[in-house]
Amino acid sequence: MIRRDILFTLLAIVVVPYVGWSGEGADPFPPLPANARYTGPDWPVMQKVVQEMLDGGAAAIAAVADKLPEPGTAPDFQPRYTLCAATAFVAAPGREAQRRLYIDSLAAALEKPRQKEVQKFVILQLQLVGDDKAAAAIGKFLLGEQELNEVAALALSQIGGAAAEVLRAALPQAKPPSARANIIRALGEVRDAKALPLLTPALGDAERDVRLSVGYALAKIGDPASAGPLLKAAGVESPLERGELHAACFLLGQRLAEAGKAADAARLHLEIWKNRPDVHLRAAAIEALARSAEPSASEAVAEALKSDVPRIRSTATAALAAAAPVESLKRWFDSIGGTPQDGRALFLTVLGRRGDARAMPLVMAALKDEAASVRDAAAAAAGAIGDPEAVPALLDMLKGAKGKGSGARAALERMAGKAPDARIAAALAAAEPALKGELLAVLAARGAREQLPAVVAAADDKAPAVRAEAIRALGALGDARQLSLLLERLSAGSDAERAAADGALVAISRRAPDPKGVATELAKRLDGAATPLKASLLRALGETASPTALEPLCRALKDSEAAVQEAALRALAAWPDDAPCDDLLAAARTAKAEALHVLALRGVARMVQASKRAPDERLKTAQAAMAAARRPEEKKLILGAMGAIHSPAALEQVLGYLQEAPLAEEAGAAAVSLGRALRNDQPAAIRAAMEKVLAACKNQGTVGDAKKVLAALRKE
Amino acid sequence: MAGAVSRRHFVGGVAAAASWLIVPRHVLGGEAKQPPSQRMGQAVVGLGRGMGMAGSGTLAACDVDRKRLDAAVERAGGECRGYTDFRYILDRKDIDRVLVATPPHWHAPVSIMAMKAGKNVFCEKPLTRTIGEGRAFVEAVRSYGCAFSYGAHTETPHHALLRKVAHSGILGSPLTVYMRGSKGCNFKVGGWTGMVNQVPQPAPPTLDWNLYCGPSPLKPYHPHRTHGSFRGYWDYDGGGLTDMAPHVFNELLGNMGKDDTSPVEVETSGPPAHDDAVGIFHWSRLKYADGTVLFVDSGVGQPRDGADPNILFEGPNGRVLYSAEAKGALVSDPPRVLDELKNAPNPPSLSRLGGLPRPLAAIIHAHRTNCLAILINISLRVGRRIRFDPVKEEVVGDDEANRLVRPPMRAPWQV
Repeated sequence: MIRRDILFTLLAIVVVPYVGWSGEGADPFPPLPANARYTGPDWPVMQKVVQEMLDGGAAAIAAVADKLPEPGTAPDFQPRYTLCAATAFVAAPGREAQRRLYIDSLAAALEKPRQKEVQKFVILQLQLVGDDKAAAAIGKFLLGEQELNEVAALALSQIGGAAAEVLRAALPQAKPPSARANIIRALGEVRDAKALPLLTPALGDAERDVRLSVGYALAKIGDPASAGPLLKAAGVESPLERGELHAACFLLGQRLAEAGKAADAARLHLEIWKNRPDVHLRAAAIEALARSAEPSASEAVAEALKSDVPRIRSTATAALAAAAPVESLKRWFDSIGGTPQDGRALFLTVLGRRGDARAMPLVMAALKDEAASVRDAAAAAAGAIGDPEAVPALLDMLKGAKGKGSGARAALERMAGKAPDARIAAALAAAEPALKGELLAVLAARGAREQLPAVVAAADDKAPAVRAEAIRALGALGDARQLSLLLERLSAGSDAERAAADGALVAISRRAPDPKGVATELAKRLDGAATPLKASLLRALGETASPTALEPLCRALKDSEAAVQEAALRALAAWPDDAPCDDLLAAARTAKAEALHVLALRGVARMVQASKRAPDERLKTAQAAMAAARRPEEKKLILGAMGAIHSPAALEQVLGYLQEAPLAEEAGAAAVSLGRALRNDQPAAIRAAMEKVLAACKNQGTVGDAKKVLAALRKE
Repeated sequence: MAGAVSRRHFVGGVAAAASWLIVPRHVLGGEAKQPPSQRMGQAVVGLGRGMGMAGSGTLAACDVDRKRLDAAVERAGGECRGYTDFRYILDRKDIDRVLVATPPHWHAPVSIMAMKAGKNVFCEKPLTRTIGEGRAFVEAVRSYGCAFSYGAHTETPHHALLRKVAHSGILGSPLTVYMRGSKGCNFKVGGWTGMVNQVPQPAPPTLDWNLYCGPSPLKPYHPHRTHGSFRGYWDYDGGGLTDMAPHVFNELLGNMGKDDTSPVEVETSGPPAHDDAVGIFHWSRLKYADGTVLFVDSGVGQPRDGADPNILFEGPNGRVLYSAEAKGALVSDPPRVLDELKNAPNPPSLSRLGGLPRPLAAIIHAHRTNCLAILINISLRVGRRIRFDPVKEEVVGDDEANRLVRPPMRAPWQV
C-alpha cells in the first residue's frame, strides 16, 4: 500500500500537468505532499502564471477549473492557488476586461456538474469578484443541497444588484428552514424592499432561526412599516430571541434615521424606552434617542438623565455630549440628575473627546464649578479641545488653593499647538510668584523653546522661588547662550537657584550641538572656582563627552578637595569610551573612600569590556584592575570584562580564578564566553577549559553553556 | 439540520451521556442552599483555554467538542452545567457574565449576542476576525452599556520612550516606527501557517463540526483546522499576526495617540495568499493621515530596501535605535537625543480615549489594534496597496478588498 503523501506526490509529478508555467526560474509548483505547509511563490512569478492563463482565454480558465479535484483525492494546490491569485489579480482597478473574462468563465464553470467542494470554491471566488452577470449562475444553487445553498446565498449577498431578483424568486421555493434563513438574510444584505411582502409574514415562522433572520433582514431593508411587526415579534420572553429581535429594531431605527425618517426612528425607540423593563434595552433605546433631534425624543432623554438607574443616566449623558446639537448642550448639562458632579464630569469628558470648539462656552463656565471633579473634567476638556482662548481661564484655575492638584496644569501641558505657549509666556509678567512658578514648569513640560526669552527674563525675577523655577526650566529649554547666566547663579544664587542651575547646566551640556565649545567655556572657569562651583563645572564637563573635557577632568582627580575629586571621578567613570581608563585605574588605587574606589573600578571594567584596544593591552589593564580591587564584587565585574577579551591569554587568566571560591562561578561564565568565541581557533584548549569549568562550577546556566560548547566541538 | 436549535443538537448527539439531566440538590434550593435563581453567575464559552479562566461561580460551560466539555464540567464540579450550544446559556437568567474563549470567528457573534441578552462580557484576543465584526462589537458595548473586558497584555518594547518621542517631537514629523519580528516583537508568522492539499477526514463523533464552523463557511473537516492550529485558516483567524498584534500594538497605539483611528494606506509584501490557508508576509507599511508610519517587519525574509532592522523610531531629525551591536542597548543618532529623552519627564497620556467609560475605551482600543492586523492581511490577500477610510471603516476604491472588510456570516449567525 503506497503512503498517501507519496501517492499524491507522484500524482502531482506524473498525472497532473503544470498550469501554464513556461518561464524562467524555479517552477512555482514543486510537488507537495498532502497536508503541506506552503507559503507560495512571490507575486511576480504568480502574475506570470495568471497572465498566461488569462491570455489563454475562457478555455484556459475552464481547463484550470477542470483540474480542481475533490479534496483528498489529489493535490489541489496548483489549480486552486492559480485561481486564488487570479481572483486577486483581476480584481485590481484597471483590469476590467480581464475581470469580465474571468467572471464569465467561472460562471460558465458552474454550469458543469462538479464535486460539491469544487463548486463551493468557485462560488467563493465569485463572492469576491462577481457581479450581476454571475448572479444567475450562482442562483441555481439556492435550491440545491444545504452547503451549496449557503455559499450561494453568501455570495449573492455580497454581489448585490441583480442578485435581489434571483434571491426573491428562490425564497418561495426553498423548503428547508436553513435554506430559507440563508436566502432571507441575503435579501436583507442586498436591501431588497420588494421582498418585504415575502419577509414580514415570516416573522411568525415556526423556526427560531428563520424568525431571527427575518428580523435582521427587515432591519437592513429599513422600511418604516416593518417597525410595528418587529416590535411585536421582539416582545418574546426568551432573552436570546428578545435580544436579537430588539437588536433588529435598533438597526431598523438606525436605518430610518440615516434615511431621514427621524420621526419614524424616534417612535420605534420610544416604544422600547416606555414599554420594555429590560435595563440594557432601555439604555440602548435612550442612546439612540439622545442622538435624535425629534421633540418627542427630548422628553424621554430628559427623563433618562434623572433616572435612578446609573447605566441609563450615564448612557444618556455620554450620548448627549457626543451628539446633541451644540445649541442644546447647556440645557442638557443643566438637567443632569443623579449624582450631578459625576454626570456633569462625564458630559464634559465626552465633550472634550468630541473636540468641537463651539462647546467651549459651556466648558469655560464649568471651569468655575463648585465641584472639583467637574472643574477638572472641564479643564481636561479644554485641553483636549485645544482652544487657546481657554488659557486665561485655566491660568485662573491654577491660582490659589483651588488650582492645586487640579486638572488645569495637565490641560495646559497637553494643549496642542504653539499658540498656548505664547499666551502662557505672556501671562508670566503679571502673575503672582506662585503662579509664575507653575507657568514656567508648564512651559518646560511643553518644550516651548520659542518662549525662551520670557523664561530667561524670569530668571531675574524678584522672588527667589521664581528664579529657581526659571533656571530649572532652562534645563529643558535653554542652550549654550545661557551658560554665563547659569554659571553666575551657581556662584551667587540662593541654594534653590544653585541646585536648579547645576541641573540645568548638566542638561544643556549634554545636548549641546557644539560640545567642544561648551567644554572649552566650562574648563576656562575652573581655575580659581570655589569647590561647589568646580564640582558643578566638572559634572557638566563630563556630560559634554568632548575630548577637550578630558584633561581638566583627569587633573581634577588629584584635587585636594574630596567633592571635586568625586565629581571628576563620577564624570570619568561614565565616559563613553576608554580614553580615561588609565586615569580611572590610578584613581581606584589611591581612592580612600570606598564608594569612589568602587565607582572607578566599575568604570574601568566597563571600558575594558567595550574597548577597541588590542587584547593584550586590555588584559593588562584588567589584571591591574584586578590587583587594585578590594572586594569580590568588583573582581567579578572585572572577570566579566575579561570574558570579552578574546585571547588565549585572557582565558588562561580567567581559568586561574576557578579555584577561588567567591569568584569561581563568575570565572566559569567568563571562560564559557571565551570558549564560544575561541572555539574554532583553539579547540583543544577550549575543550580542556570547559572540562575545568564543569568540574569547578555549579551554576546550572554556566554548566549548561559549557556543555553546549563541548557539544559543538564534538560535532566539528 | 444546520443552525436548528433542537434538543438533540443541544446534547450533542443521541449517544451523548445525559449527565446534565441530574439536578443537584442545591439547585432545588434545599435546606441551607441558596437556589441558583437568586444568584448571578458566569459562563465560559470555548474551553481550550477558557476553562482555565473559569473559577468558582462558573455555572455553565460550553464547547462544541463534547469530550472537552465533559472533562471541563467534571473538573469544575459544583453546579456547572455543560452545553454544546451557547444560545441555551444566553437564555438563562441566572447568568450575568460570559467569558468568550472560542476561536476568533466566534468572538463577535457570541459576545454581541450575549450583550443583546443583557450579559456582561470578557472576550479573549484577537477581538474579532473581521473589521465589520469589530465595529459591531464597539457599537454593542456603546449601546447596551454592558461591562466589557478584554484579554490582551501588552509587550511593546520601550513603550515609555516612544511616548516621550511622540510627545516631544524631538525627532521631527512625520515619525516612522519600525518593528521587526525578531527584535522582541515575535509575530509567530511561520508558526501559524495553514495546510494546503488538505486531506479531509471524518469529524470525530464528539465534535459538532457544523457548529464549530458557525458563522464561517462550512469546509471539510481536518484536525489542523481546530484546537490550537485554527489560526492558520482565514475562516477562523488571521495567522500569527492577529494572534500577536494585541500584545505588540496595544500599548504602542495608545502611546502614539492612535488608539481611536486607523491607517489610511496599507501596503503589504508577501507571496499571493491562498484562499483558505494563511501563509506568511514579509513586511507591511501602514500610513496614518498625519504622515506617521508604522512599518511592520515580520522577521521572515530580508528587510525591505536594506532597512536597518534595529531601528525603532525615525524622524527627519534623527533616530532612536535598538542596537544589537550595543548588545541591545538603546542608542540614538545624534547621541544627544537619547539623553534628552531619558531625562525628559514622563508626558501625559496621548490616548484619545481618556475619560470614556472604561468598557467603551477598552473595546475601541482593542478594535483599532485588531484593525491594524486585519488591514495588513487584507492588503496581503488582495496583493496590492489599499486605501482605508478610518471613519467609515471602508476600503476606498477597491471592491474586492472592501468585501473582505465585512464578509457575511452563515445563517443563523449575525452581528
